[in-house]
Amino acid sequence: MRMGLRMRMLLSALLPVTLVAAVLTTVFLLRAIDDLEQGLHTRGTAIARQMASAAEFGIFSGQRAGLLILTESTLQIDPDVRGAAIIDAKGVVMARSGELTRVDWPRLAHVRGQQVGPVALLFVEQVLASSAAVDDIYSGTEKSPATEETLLGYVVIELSRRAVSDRSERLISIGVLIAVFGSLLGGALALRIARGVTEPLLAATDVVARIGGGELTARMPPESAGPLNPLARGINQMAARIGMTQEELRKRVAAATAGLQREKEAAEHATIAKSHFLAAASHDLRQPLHALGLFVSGLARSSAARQEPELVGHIQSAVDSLQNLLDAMLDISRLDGGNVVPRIDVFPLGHVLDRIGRDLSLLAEHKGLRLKVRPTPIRLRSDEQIVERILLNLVSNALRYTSRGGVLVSCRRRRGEMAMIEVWDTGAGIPEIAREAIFEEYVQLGNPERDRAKGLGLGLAICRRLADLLQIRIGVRSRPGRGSVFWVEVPVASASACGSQEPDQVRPIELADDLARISGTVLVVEGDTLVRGGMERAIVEWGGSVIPAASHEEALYRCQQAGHPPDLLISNIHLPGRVDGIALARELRRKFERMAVLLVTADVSEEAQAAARNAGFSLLKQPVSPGRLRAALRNLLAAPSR
Amino acid sequence: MFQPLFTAVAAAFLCLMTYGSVAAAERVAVWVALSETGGVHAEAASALRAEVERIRPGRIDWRETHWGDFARPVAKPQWVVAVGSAAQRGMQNLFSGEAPPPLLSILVPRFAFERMADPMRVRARSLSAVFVDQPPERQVDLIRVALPGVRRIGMLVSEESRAHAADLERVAAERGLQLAALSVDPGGLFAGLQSLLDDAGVLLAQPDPAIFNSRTVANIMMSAYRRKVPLIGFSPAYAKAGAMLALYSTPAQIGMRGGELLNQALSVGVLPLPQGPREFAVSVNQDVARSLGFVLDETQLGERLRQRDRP
Repeated sequence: MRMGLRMRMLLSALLPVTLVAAVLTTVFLLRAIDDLEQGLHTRGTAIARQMASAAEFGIFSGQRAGLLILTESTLQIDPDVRGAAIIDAKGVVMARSGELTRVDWPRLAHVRGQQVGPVALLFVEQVLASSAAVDDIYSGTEKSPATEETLLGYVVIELSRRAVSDRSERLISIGVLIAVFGSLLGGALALRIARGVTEPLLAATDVVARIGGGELTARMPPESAGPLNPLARGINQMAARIGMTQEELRKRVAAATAGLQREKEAAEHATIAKSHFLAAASHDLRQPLHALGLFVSGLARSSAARQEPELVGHIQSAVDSLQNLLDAMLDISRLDGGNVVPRIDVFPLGHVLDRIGRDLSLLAEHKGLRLKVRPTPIRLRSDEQIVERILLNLVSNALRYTSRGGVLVSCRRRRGEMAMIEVWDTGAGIPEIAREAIFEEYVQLGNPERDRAKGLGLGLAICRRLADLLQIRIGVRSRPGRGSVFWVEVPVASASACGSQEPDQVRPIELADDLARISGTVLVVEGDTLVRGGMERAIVEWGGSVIPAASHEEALYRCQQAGHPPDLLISNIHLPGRVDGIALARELRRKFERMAVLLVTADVSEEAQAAARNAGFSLLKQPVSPGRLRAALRNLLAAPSR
Repeated sequence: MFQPLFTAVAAAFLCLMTYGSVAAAERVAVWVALSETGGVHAEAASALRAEVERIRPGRIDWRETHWGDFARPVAKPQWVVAVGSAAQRGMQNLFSGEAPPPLLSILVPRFAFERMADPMRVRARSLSAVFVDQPPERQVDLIRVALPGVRRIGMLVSEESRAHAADLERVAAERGLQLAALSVDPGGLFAGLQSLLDDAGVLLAQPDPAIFNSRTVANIMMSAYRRKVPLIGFSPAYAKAGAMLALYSTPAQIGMRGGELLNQALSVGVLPLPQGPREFAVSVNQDVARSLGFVLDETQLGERLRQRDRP
């Protein structure tokens, strides 16, 4: 750009100058050289004529000496004359001086400027007798005689072209010098002018580029612009205008951003407040619900229950519903809050299905339904817990809405890399128009009265959210009156992949005999008196002995007093005081190596669960159903300490 | 009072009538034949007629035209004047073979006249001429007057003009001068000139076209000039071309002389002998004269010559 512009301006200025200089020089040189040549010819002709007239009498009178003087003097007078001769009419040489190339003069008659040899021009002039007008009546001629001229002889001269050539060469050198000088001068002027224009232009380009790059303070020095001063002023005005506009825009954007920021902060505050409220509410609700569950369980076995069994059954049902509702609401809230991050791993589907079959077999038995789980060797690549949760929901749903017949869970590979897990039921089926709606919150079919025992309508909504989280497909096909099939497609792990978890070493939490008695001392550490009391009562009823403690210190103290180590520690993770449940468990584990540990928490957050898992302890989330608690106790107490 | 006047007028009228009738009765028919219409020929003719008319006013029946225009007439003229050689030849041819009218030829070179003229007729005074040539006496006298120191006169002659040299030689000898007449042919002109100029004090040109013509005269003059020999020409053109002196008669002078001779002839009935013109002019080329170291005056020279001419 820089060189291009300058070069172009230079060329456009220099080209015509050089051209004109060259053409003028050439024309003048040609003209001058032509003049020189012409001059030589004219001179030769003139000398020859002059000699011819001067030689007339010499030839007439035959005075060779006089003619020789004439030729010699001609040679001396003009340095370009290289040779001269005078011949009479018969071709006899009367006088000769210098060098002459041609000697065949008599035949030449009349020559003007003939080139002879490389450097000579030949001139031949006839010498004619001059006439005087004397023929008249006195002379006796009757008429004036015919004016035929008498040839006396010839004058021959040769002119050297050397001087003319030398002068031509000198002229050419001078001409070339002048042309070169003129071109140089023109070039220098053009350069100067071009610089005067290009430099401000380049400066302007630079400033415009800087402005384009965002440097709005860039300005052109107006005094340096020279002839392009208006351009510089224009650019400066433009830059100033852009700067002002930009500043104004920036202020507006800042104001808008600040407003948005405020709104966002308010919204975030609101969200955080909501989350805090939900967390607190759920925690605070779980504790009493936990206790309530334990108490109702106790009540059912009490003598009072024998008198009013129906009432106790209702209370039990209401507590179950409350517990399910709370779990579902918390799940929805967690999923909506984006707090759940899937952990993709490889796991065997068979185990998951086994657990579900075990967990729900009791429910199926109660409803008089057959629950069948078809064993499968397929290994999946997904989040095991989430998949289990989805299937658990689907199967419980199926059991809930089926009054006769049974529920079948099966799996088959589909298209190689996907496993299609299906939950078949023999329920009422789902009409086609409702097949999408059932995946939305609080949509229940066949429950217009919203009987809570039939569920809350949140199960499928949670399933859809979980499936979305895993980016897998979930759906239903159904024939009304015959039954429905809920299905979910999960990626299959490749043959080589193997899970991080050890295959068949999952805790064998045996829930089979939930009614079996337990034995052993259980240290229950729980800050909430109600919950602690409920648990104490339930465990005692199940056949165990309890050391209750409200805090870390009390637990240590009670252990000392008891005189024998506890077989199992059940502790809430959150304890009053500075030491939490995990620390207490570690401490006691160091003292009592055989002691088993079961942690409970109402904290639904992943962190709490991860902390327990990392410590290597079993964890139950509150509210814990009495059945589940009892099964866990049986398991831990029966197993060797771990 | 009125009678003498009436008588006088009547007498004059009568006299006029008588004269007119006499004139008509005695008018002489004269032809003037010109070699060329206009120019010097017409000038000479005009001078001739003026001279005749002066003596015989109205008594000549002039017929003047180019000689070629005259045809053989029923009535021959009584007198014929030819102006120039061509006219003379033409008139001689026109009236050949019978009794020709007397012919006066003017403005002719002497040698040309002599070549054409029948000597019988000249002797019978039926043919005469006024030459353009100056008489030898006048030429020699001019040399004596203008160049008193010259003793030897150089002259170039051809075969044709050799005869004239004899007259000149005689006249020169009478006046104590020598004439060296050298006969040359055109090729040997320069060689002849060289030898002639060696001892001649003056070179006298003669109207001989074989030697003196416009092509030769420049070199002759140059040769003479280089040898410091003055040249005397026979026409004003010579003085202009570089001759120091020129002796000649103008066409008017010749014509007038012709008129005088015609008057004589009309009176006596026969023509006088051929002769040169009486009146003449001398021209001096002052530049040449100065270059050659002479001081000459045309008028003075003319006067002195005329004094010598008079008998």
